Parts: sequence; structure tokens; C-alpha cells
Amino acid sequence: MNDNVLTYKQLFWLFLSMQVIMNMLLTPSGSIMIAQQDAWLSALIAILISLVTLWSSIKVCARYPSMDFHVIIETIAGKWIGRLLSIFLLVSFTVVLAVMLRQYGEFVSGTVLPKTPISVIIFCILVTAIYPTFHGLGVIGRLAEIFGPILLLGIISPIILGIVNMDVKHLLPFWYDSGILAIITGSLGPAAFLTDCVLILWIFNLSEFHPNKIKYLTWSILTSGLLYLLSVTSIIATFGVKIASTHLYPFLILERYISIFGMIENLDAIVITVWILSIFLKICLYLFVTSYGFSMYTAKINRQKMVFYIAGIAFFLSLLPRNVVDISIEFPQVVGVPFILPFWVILPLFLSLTIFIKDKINKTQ
Amino acid sequence: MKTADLHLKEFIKSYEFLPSSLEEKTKILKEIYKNCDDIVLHPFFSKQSAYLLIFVSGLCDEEKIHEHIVRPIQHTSIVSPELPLIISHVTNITNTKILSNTLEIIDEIADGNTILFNDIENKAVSYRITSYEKRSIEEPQAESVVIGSREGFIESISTNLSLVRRKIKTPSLKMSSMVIGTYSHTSIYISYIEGIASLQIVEDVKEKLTKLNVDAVLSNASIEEALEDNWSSPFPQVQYSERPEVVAAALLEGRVAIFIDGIPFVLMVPVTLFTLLQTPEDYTERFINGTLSRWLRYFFLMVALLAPSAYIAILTFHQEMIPTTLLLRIAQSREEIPFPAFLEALIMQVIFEVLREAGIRLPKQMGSTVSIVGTLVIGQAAIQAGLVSAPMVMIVAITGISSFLLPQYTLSIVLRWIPFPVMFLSGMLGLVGLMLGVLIIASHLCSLRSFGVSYLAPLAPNDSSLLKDVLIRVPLKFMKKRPSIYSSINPNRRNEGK
Amino acid sequence: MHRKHLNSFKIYITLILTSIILSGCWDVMEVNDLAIVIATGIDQIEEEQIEVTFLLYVPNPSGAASGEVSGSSKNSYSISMTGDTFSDAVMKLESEVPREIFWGHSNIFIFGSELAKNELGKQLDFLVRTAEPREQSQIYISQEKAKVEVDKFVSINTAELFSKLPKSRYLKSMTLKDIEEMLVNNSQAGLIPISNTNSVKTSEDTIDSFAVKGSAIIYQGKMISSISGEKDIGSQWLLFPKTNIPININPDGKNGKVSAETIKKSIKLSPLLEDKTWSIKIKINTDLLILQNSTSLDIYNPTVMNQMKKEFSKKIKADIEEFLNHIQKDLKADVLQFYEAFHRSYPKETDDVKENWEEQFENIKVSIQVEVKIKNPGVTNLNIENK
Repeated sequence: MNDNVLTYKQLFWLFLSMQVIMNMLLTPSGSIMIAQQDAWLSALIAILISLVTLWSSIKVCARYPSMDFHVIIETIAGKWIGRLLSIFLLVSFTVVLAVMLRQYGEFVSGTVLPKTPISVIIFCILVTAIYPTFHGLGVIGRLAEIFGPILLLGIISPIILGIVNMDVKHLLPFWYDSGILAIITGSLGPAAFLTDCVLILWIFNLSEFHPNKIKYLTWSILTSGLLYLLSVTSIIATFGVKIASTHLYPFLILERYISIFGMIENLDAIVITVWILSIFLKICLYLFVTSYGFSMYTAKINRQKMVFYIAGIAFFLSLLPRNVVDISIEFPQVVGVPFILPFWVILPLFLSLTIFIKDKINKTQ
Repeated sequence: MKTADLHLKEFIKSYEFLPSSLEEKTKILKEIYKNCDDIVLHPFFSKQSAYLLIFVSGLCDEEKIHEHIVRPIQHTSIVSPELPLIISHVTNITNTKILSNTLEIIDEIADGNTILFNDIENKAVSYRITSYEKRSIEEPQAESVVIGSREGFIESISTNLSLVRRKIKTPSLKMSSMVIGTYSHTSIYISYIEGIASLQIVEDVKEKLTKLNVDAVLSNASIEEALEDNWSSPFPQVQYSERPEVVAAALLEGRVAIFIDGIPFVLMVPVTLFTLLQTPEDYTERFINGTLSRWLRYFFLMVALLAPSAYIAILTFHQEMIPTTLLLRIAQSREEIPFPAFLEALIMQVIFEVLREAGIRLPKQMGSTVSIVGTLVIGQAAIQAGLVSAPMVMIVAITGISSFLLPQYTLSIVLRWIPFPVMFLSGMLGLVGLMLGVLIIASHLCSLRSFGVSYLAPLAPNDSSLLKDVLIRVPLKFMKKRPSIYSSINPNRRNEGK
Repeated sequence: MHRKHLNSFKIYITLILTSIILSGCWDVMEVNDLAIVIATGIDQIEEEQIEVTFLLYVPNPSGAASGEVSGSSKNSYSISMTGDTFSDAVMKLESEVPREIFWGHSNIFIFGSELAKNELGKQLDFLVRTAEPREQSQIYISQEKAKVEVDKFVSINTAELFSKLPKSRYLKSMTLKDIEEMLVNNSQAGLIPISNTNSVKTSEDTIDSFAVKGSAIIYQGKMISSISGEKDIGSQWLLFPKTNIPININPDGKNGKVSAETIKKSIKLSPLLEDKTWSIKIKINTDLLILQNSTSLDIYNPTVMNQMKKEFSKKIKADIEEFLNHIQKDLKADVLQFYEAFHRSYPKETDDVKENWEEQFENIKVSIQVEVKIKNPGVTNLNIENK
């Protein structure tokens, strides 16, 4: 039975929930360190970049609504270049999948399970993620639909509860400490997370046709970006720039600081729960896209088997980095921002431009 | 055995139609029913001709046979022994059928009908005067309600059909019959409302049941398994009910009901998790009460699933989450317990399951003994001996009670063992393990389908118009549409134009 | 169809197998194996050694089994250890105690005054760096040695007391996060309440209870002064927005006092930089509740009421000025974070004086504006003496 079809609502929840928490937890401190109290402006720029990526990706897919991406790219860019680009894209997804797994491992190990080997933590979630991926995209979509609202609640409610601890004064002075260059540099971190909406290239044709589909997709990226903006703002407003930029996971500290009636304290459990939900969906989606994509290039192996191979490779890759510095600081600086981010932004832009020009030429003829 | 069986089959096959002579007929029937001493072959004569009656003793009302068949024929003044004439002019029984095929005749006899042969035709008349011992209609045991109808299904399929027919009188209510079981010849009725139920699902049910090849249908399990899409899943994919109004409601939602002879439950497909979580009482109570009790059920479903695991996870991994004073209290009560919290929970949970199982199996008079011993042993003695901590007993008790809150027995059985793997995971990885457990269960539920309907519908795939009936019990005033997940043929519950 | 289910079945089996194989349970920590830290005292003793005193909770099982409610007083023990640094002492202690030291519930950290004067900042770093102590834990500086103070707590129901501390409307408290924020800011100055013990006599024996008396001023990671009395009250007006403050006034020419208590107060700092003169306006709004009136004044009378308001604001202003004088002129410690306030409005100018902020701070003109509202003059207007 082919259970790979997504509804437009599932698409919305899937993209929202897989992006939001990872971004909130990992990027604020770096962004705040660079852009100081104007980090929220960086967030706005990151949203802009991701929307451009999304928009161009959708343009590409909507031009050939029933084709798989590997066919689309070969029609646009020619057989060999297309194949090369598409495999590059899939490889970048695989690498990011491995990095995500490792970051998940580091986070869990750093916050709740300090003595458990990271390999075990990663292995457990990977095995769990294989199950729905194996059954197909529809299952992942339904999971996202169930957990998406819970996730949203888990993010927004602590921020609302923490309003008493916030002081808007921390956001001043405006523009003075940062400057345009710092703000743009600060936006690259969150942008790298938000632009993984480029995944839509592979799954656009798998979702049902609906007039609202594009609208919902845009809203999902926008919402996740805005939530990031909200979290960065509230982190700065609660702690001020200095503390916020030195903590590894400022959002976690934000939740730890909340206390309801002095009784319900230490809400970090919520963050951890929400984090696991979100990263689980993210791993599933990446695993699906990579296995789906690679299985198009390997004639003999079907998609379901491919899930296991990709999971194995990602598991192996995720164990390579030595420590949290490698994965959270060096990887984004050396590979993430200079290579993967531009590739994700430029590829759909390039494709949509080519389509645009081709169509123009066809029309004049 | 096999050869004898084959022999009989071939023998019946060779006489697809019985000969007209009464003598030969008697010989053949005697051969078929060799060693079947409960079969009565009764030859008798009117003034002009000979007849033969055959029936199963105990399944027919013998007095009625005498009164309405034998005596009128013996005293009739009509000369011709032709069967149609006898039906219309002599015997006074209305439910009759003229048969010619031997296999048909055999089936009719097994169903408890009385068969009459004459000397000149190769046909037979079947009189439906079945009368056998059956339970009277009682209050349902497994699904009791405070307010609502007291009727429950019984083992006799014709009674069950009539109970539903009395609720839905339209001719659109179809009951198509089917015989399953090489030996048992169990009759099964597939019931649906034409114009509401999706034809595809009806066809699917029929196809799956036709394909079913079993010796006998003695329990509902064989039918249930045939209807399931995923046999390896622990979750029930068929809904049972012993209440006619539940079945009627299901039929009106566009679902298909399956009646099985000899089983006082009716099976309903397709199924979603949320239909399994609804009780018939939800709709007899006022909507606020119905909503609240529904929420309570959902909440305690989670409790039954996760309470022991969460307790283990928090107590052994995340002590900082417990408020200080509570932690000190727990620490005090746990101080001398020799087992780790995980083992403690496991032991208690297993003991609880044992008690529950014993309570079901034991005769009713003994049940109370078990519960007394159980409470004394685990509740009091174990705590006083310092083997188990009091908070743990509380957690296990709450878990146990919550699993009784679920209306469908098949679902609460699942909840008895599903917590164990989750407990393992949370004993190993704390809250992370608990979350992984939840994710596995959720992924599995998401991947389940019953006749093409997602198991978690209408939550996923999300349908906000139906979700309202899941989250709250909407006043009937606002329930104008049938659930579109089952069928989209006739979406309006209200008569259009009114 | 069937192959697919076999496959999913395989996944179940792998999962169960892995969970059995992996059941190393690395991070399991049974409650029985924990020594729960309730309070921590940190002292400096000679030769740069740090002495850490823990107030531990070790459950007393006999109490639980019989089901009696026994106060946790019998379950508290104090234990001390010396080491080169805070963390060193903690590590040493962990290797000597059979139970695992559990910090998650340590709500209170008391630093000895000796240590606070020398290297408070250095030892605070350990608390900030490790994840376990909560950000909401309360920090105090002890008037004497922290060890002496912590030792005294053994006899009271401390765990409950300390968990209620942050909610108290009368006891001042500063959380770890507040202090972290104050000390990393450019002004590097902060204020930590000083703790002390009170002896409470009961019919059987004397019990030492926790008390807060005065505040310590921290500058550049060291305690430089301790304040009490009016200065301390002045500091409470500015730095502890949640605590209630009692005020007594002697109305002019009247024999007697009027006592009141604050119900609500808010502070607003508005910095102003004009012609190179730095000035800051502190505006305080407060609601008062009259508790006692031993004068012959009729408080219900609007004119008297107005007069009272003036008297109260004068008193408040005086207290605050006393405090401000002390920090501005004597200590030059920017406890009130004026730097940040100016930086928000005048980032460039403040950056210019960043290096010699101490001088600049000394010269800031402070104007205080107090607005008092008497919310409740009491339920009766009966003057008992005034017959």
C-alpha cells in the first residue's frame, strides 16, 4: 500500500514542527553574540532568506506538479548536471541528518543523561525514527499533525508564563552595538535551519493538490520563523545580552527560570519533550527524503530498504565528530554556513530562474 | 477419517438431486445421516400417499410438527400429494421453502428446519418451525449503562437481527447472509444501510469473508482476524458490541456490522481509536457531562499508559523535577526499599496483572476472596514489610483503575501490557525513553488503517469538523453531518428540505 | 502486504532486543542513593582554602514505616570539607560520602563574609557553570562564618523553610540569575542580602532559625561594604520590588508614630544627558497600608491624609538618599545599574566613559520623586488614646 500522500494541513504541521525547536534551542546564543540586542533583526532577515528559498522551490515544483524532483532537475539542467546537483542535494541532506543526530545526542547528554554514551542515545532515536519512515510519508505527516499542536503549546506557553521575568529595556539601545554587517552575519545561523524548507523540492508532488497548499506552506515557514523571533526576543528580554550569549541553550535556561505559583518549577522537562518530538519528526522527514531520493538512483534497492542503509550511514557519520564544539560551532562555521546554506538557497533560485528564462524563450518563439 | 469424510462428500455429490421414490430417498438420507441418532426420520401416510419427515430432534417444536404438518396431511381430503398444493392447502405453516438440491436440504436440516418429502417429486418442503433452547434477552454484561436500553444480543442470530431491525425499520437496511466454516456452516450476516455505507467497504468486507477458509467459526476471533488489515498489531481493529443501539448507531454512521450465529456480539468495521473510546452513554447524558467524562477517559487513558513509566523516569532520572518537600517525603518512604524503582514497579505491575487475571478466571464467589487477599498482600503487608513503597502502590493502583475506565474490553487488554515496554525504555533512558516509547506507539497507531480509514482519524488526518465530536461531545443539535471518514455518500443526517 | 508486516514485526523485535542489550542504565540514580543537599555554606579559611558545608537530608526510614509524620528535623545533617576551590571541596566530599550528592534541590547558598570580601566572584563561577544548581536558588552572605550558620539549621525544618523563601513577602531574596546578571554587566556591582540566625525559644529548647539582616554590596566580585538600618531600607526600595517594607513616621509636632507597610511599589529610572551633565530621575510609586496610628491625627481627614503622604514620601526619600550617597560617594559601586540605563538611551556617550565609569558615576545627579498612595487607612478610625 502506498502511504506517501500528505494533506496540506499535514504539510503545514510537518514543516512547522520539524523546524521550530531545533532553531530555537541551538541558534539564539550564537546569533545574540554577534548581533547583540538586535538579534531579532537577524531573525527577520533569516525569515526573509528562508521565504525566498521556499518561494523559489515552490515555483520549481509547481511548474511540473506531478514529476519527481530527479526528473524535474534533469529536464531543467540537463541529464548529467541535473543528476549531479540532485545527488549533491541528497548528500547535503544526509550530512545534515547526521549532524542533527549528533546535536540531539549532545543536547540530551548535556542536559539529562550525562553518563549514557552518545551512541546509545542516537541509536535509540534513530531506531524509533525508522519505523514511521519505513511505513511512508503519510505516517510521518499524521504524526506531525498530532504532535504539532502539542509542540506549539509547549513553546508558546513557557514564553507567556515567563513574561513576568521579562524586561523590554534589555532590547535597547537599538542598532548601536551591532550594525548591519553584524545583523546579517547573525542571521546566517538561524537561516541555515530555516532554509531546510528546500526539502519541499522532493515531497511537493507527494502532497495532495489543494489550492491552499502554497499558502499553508508559506505560513508554516513564517510561523516557525516568527516563533524563533519571539524566542530570541524573550531570551534577550529575560536575561540581557551578556548572559544569553554565553549559555549554550538559552531557551532551556529560560524555561528553567519559570516558576508557576512557586510550585511547578523546572519546566526543562517540557523543553526536552518538545525537543524530542520535533527532532524526531525532523529525522523522519530527512530520512524519508534521502531514502526516497537515493532509491531513485539505485534501480535494485527499493525505498524501504534504503531507509536502513541511510540510517546506518547517518549513524556512522554522527559518531565522527569529537565533541560538542565540533558539531555546534565548527561544523556550522566550516561547512554549514559557507557551503550548505548557499547551496540550499541558490539551487532553487537557479532552477526557478532557468524555468523563467526557458518559458520566456518558449513564449517568444 | 479423511477418507470417510471424502466418501461422504462424494456420496452427497453423486446425488445432487434426490430421486422421486420415497424408498430410495429414505435409503440415501439414512446413508448420509449414518450414526446421527439425533436426526429423526419419520415416515407417515395419508389416505392416498406416503410422506417422509426429517428433522433434528431438539431444534424443532415437535408438537407443532404434529399439530400443523402431520395431522392435517393425515386428515386431508385433498388427494394430490404435490408439494405446492400441500403448502397452500393442507399444512398451516407460513415460513416454507421448496428445495431440490441435496446440499441445500442438508443445510436446512442443520438449521433446525423440518423437511417434508413425498413419494412422487424429487423436491422437498422445508418448514421453519425451529424452536430450541436459547437465552432470553438480558441486560448486556460487558457494556452496562445506567441510563439506556437494557437489551443485549444473545447467541441466536435471528433474535439479534430482529433486535437491530426493530431499531432501523427502513428497507435500506440490508442484511446479506453468508455461510462460513467447512464443518460448522456458521451463518453470518453482513449488515449495512444502503445509501449511507460506502459500497467499497461493504464489498471489501464481503470479499475478505468469502476468502476466509476455516473449519469452524466458534469464536469471533477468526472473523476478526479476517477483517483486520494488520494482524501483528496489538490494537483491536474491530469494534464489538452487545448492544443493539450501538450497532444501529454504527450503521447510521455508514459502518458495516457483522452478525455471527452463536456469538452474542456484533462486529463493526471500520474502526478508529476514538470510536473505541466512546461509550453508548456519551450520547444519553447531557452534553456537558458527556464531554467531561470523555475528557476523563482520554486523560486516564494516558495515565494507564504512562503513569508507572513516568514515575520511574522522574524518580530515578529527574529528581529535580519533583517539588522539594514531595521529594523528601518520597525519599523517606523509599529509604529501606531493597529494589530499584524500576524493579519495584515491574513487580507490582505484574502482581496486579496476576490478581486481575485471577479475578476473571475464578468463579464469582471466589472473586472477593482474591481481592481481599490481594489488597492485604500487596497493599498492606508489602508496605509494612518494607518491600514496596507506598507511593508505588498508589501509582500501580491508579494505573489499574484507569485501565478499567475504557469502554472497550479489547482496548483495555492492550493497555495491560503496552506499558511494560515503555517502562523498560523509561527505566533505561528516563524521560527520553518515555518519549521514545510514546513515539513508537504513536507511529504505530498512525500507520494502522482499518478498511482504508486511518486509525487515528479524525485527529490525523485532521478533519476539524469531525474533531469536535472527539474532543467534546457536541450537542446533537450541531451534529448535522455523518462522519465523512467512513463514507461520503450521504453526508447529511438531517432530512433535506426540513 | 504480508511481507511488510513481517518487516514491521522485525522492527519490534530489534527494538526489544536493543533495549535489553542496552539496558546499561547509565544514568539511573535511585532516591535511596542520594544525599539531597538543602543548603550550602561556603567559607574561606586560612591559606586560601575553601571550606564547604552542606546541609544534607538523609531520610530516617523508621519514621516512614510507622506512618507517623515526623518532622524532617531528625533527618538533616551537616557535613564540611575543605579544598582548594569550591568545586574541589565538593569533589572531595563526594568521594567520601557513600551517597551521591544531589544538588537539584539546593535552594540556598550562603557565602561566608570572609570569602565574600576576598573572592566571591571566583567561587560563584562554579555555581553558574554547572547545570545542576537552579537559577532560582537564593544567594546570601553570612554575617559570620557560613559553617556556623548552616550547622545551626540542622535542628529546624529547613527544607520547607527554604523552599518557601522566594515566595516570602518580607524576607529579601536574590536569585543566582539576578546576581549573575548584575555582576556580568558593565557596572560589575550588585547587592546580596546578609543572612543571620535568630534564636527562638520553645518550651523545651532553643532553636536557631533563619533570618535576613541587612545587605552586602558587591563590587568587582568582592564584597566591599555591608549596610543595615536606613541604608538597607533604601536599598530595598530600589532593588527588591517584591518585598514589603515597613515605614514609621513621626508626624511633626505630634506625639506618637504612624506605621505603615507597602503593598505595591514600582520604580522607574529615567536617565538624562544634557550639556555633559549626567542626571537620572528615580520615580517611585507606592501603595501603603496603615497598620498603626498612635498619634491623635484623624487619618480619614483628607488634609491630614495629604500631610501624611508628604511625611511618608519624605521619609522614603531620606532612606533612599542615604543609600544612594553611600554607594555613590563612599563606594562608587553602580549597584543600581545606572550604566545600563544610560547605555540604553545614550549608547555612544556611555561607551566614551566606559573606562572611567567610577568617576562618572560619582558625579551623576540623582533626583528622587516619590509618589505615595494610601490604599487603606485601616478599617476603623478609632483613636483609643484620644478620648
